[in-house]
Amino acid sequence: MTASSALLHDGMTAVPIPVQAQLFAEGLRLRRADGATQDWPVASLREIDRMPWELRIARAGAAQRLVVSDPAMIAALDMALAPWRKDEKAARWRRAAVTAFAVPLLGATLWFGWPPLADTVARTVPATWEQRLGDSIAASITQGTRRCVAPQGVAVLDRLSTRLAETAGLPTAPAVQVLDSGVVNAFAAPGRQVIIHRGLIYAASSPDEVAGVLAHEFGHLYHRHGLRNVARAIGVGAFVSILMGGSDFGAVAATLLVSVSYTRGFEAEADDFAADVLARSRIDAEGLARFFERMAGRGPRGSVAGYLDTHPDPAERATALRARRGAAVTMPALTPEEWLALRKICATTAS
Amino acid sequence: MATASFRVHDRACSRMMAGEDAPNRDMLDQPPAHAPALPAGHAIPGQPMAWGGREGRLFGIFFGNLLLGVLTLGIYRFWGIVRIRRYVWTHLAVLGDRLEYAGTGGELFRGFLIVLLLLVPLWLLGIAGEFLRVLHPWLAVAVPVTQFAILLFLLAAGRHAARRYLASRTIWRGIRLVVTGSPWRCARVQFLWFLATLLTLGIARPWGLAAEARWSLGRLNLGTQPFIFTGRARQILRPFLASYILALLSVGAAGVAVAVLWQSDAFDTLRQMGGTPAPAPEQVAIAVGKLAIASLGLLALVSPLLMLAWFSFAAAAMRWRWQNLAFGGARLALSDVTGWSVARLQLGNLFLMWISLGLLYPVVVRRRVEFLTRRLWAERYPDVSPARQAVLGQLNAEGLANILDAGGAGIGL
Ligand SMILES: [Zn+2]
Repeated sequence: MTASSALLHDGMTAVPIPVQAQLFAEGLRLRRADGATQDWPVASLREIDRMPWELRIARAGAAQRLVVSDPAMIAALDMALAPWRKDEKAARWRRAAVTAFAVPLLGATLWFGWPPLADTVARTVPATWEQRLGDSIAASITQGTRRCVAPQGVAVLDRLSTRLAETAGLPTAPAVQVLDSGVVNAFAAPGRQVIIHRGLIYAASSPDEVAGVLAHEFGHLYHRHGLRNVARAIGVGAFVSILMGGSDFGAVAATLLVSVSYTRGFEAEADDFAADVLARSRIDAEGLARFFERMAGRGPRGSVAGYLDTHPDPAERATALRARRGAAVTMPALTPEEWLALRKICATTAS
Repeated sequence: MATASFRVHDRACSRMMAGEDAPNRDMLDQPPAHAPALPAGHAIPGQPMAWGGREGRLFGIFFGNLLLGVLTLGIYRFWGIVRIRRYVWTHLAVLGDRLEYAGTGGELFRGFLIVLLLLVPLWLLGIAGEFLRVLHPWLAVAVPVTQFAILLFLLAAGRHAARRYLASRTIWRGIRLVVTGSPWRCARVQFLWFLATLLTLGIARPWGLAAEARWSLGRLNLGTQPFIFTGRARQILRPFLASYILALLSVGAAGVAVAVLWQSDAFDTLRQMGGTPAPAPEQVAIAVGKLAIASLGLLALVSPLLMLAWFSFAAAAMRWRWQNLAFGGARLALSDVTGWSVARLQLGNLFLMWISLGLLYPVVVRRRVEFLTRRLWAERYPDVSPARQAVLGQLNAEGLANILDAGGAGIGL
């Protein structure tokens, strides 16, 4: 048995009560100056905190606290508390093990579960809203750059896109416009907007290549990729930024990483769509494949920037397209006269 | 105020009062420079709080949290906060008895999830706004304003909920602290004061501060024994108006200076750049240099004045909050809280966080705690005998204030 004086906080008042504490094998007996005693069984002892000069303990589930500063008593209580401390430690390890299992599981669920959920949300957006959103995005992009409006070229482009859109079964007629800019690029905004830069038409060596790019962009329109991408990215950004406690850096990094991996899926889907539409329009998909290969020659290959580029590897895309190419008879997408007219579409420009 | 403290006097007294067998805690190790328990009625001014933590230990916990946070995709955050708090609380002695922190990471995590449920509709409103602004131009303004208003309201409610939660998990001598009052009512009051402050161009601020103090300090209890807050807005009206006028004058002076610059020949030179005859490059360089020096000078002149206005009022408000607080018959006071000391604390903390990208957080915690413990005085030893343990209902954890980073480390108590 160890005995010492101690201070009792009785859990009802804030005035400390001096007590005599006696530690037996069964438990702790506290005796007040007025002779009243109370017993705390060993199994009910809990450590609140342990300082080199002071040990504070509680009775399980009770508000009472006992402050002990006698070194011999602290040592004796340390022994009595040892089994409980061991249990606590084991419980901590169990929790760590569960966490080590649950966190990756949760991450995987979100990673694979979020895209379909975001797509569902995106699908509830009415087509007219999507169109207005896309139109305003397109307007903000084309602002400040002149549009190419040479009448013959526009007529050829309209005929080609109408033909492809009808084969593709797009719900709304696309609005295709050419911008007077040397960038080799084309993209689709949500709704019906497709924007092609003059540089892309100049870089194409045959009308099949332009037709292929158009069909690819129509694939983005058909699958509503623009809107779905916005829905996914917003969700990921918000989730990560909340989880990280408002750290923008983490949110931006995660959004980038996720949108890269998601966008790759979209590009493959649009390529598939293009291959299908081209085949049904009797246009050779070889044009699009060759265009991708040419793009591969331009980009910084194998570099980090190349890897992080949101578009997948052009060589792989070309291979995938060729694999889907049928043996059917094909015709050039445009006659030589039409092709010439399209290439001169920027002879007249308007703001 | 006298420099005599509980620490000095109380040790001698405690030995006498506690008798031979009482634990003589002064002799052991080097604990927080804490004052041992004393009987009520002790009439010498003293410092009721003492900090005995070590920065090194805080760093250990902090870096452990950081590592586990990364490994768990940030979810460990809540348990990490608890570890930091537990260390701070247990090394903070009040009248010689160390505080106890009884919150858990699970509670914080649950509170966080509840807050998410509250924030998701708000976030969806924001996204809907992105689409709606295409439909009607005026929605481009209405949606963000509504969103901001709702957020402000939630934040005010969250702040009070956080106070209630934090108090209920703080135990002193076995008795829990209690903050009363509904968070929603608190939010309504705060929101109205915010609007009033906005509409009166800031003039209503002292009354808003008084309302805030009544809702925080004025509703604080140790168990059933209340802290008494008697502060009135008119008591801080004078320092407020002084700061307000100083701020107005310095902004006005800046406006005049900008107007003068605008008329200067340096600007004329720049304005002629597009036209004919174009000014010579060296003339342009001189003009740009002149303007740069002038605006730097302006900044150097105006920003200290603005900071003086800001920090001197912050210090006055802080002194006012504590000076009008009493517990157990003892009034509290802050010594040596001046605009300069508040500026040193807050700018210093900002600077430390900034140069270290947040890695010096433990230093900031220590500085905040020590700022208070070194300056807080009680006119006498408070009588805590009326305090009884209060019966608590269920409380939600403090998520909102935490997410939106308004709660700080919660050491303001
Ligand atoms: Zn694409």
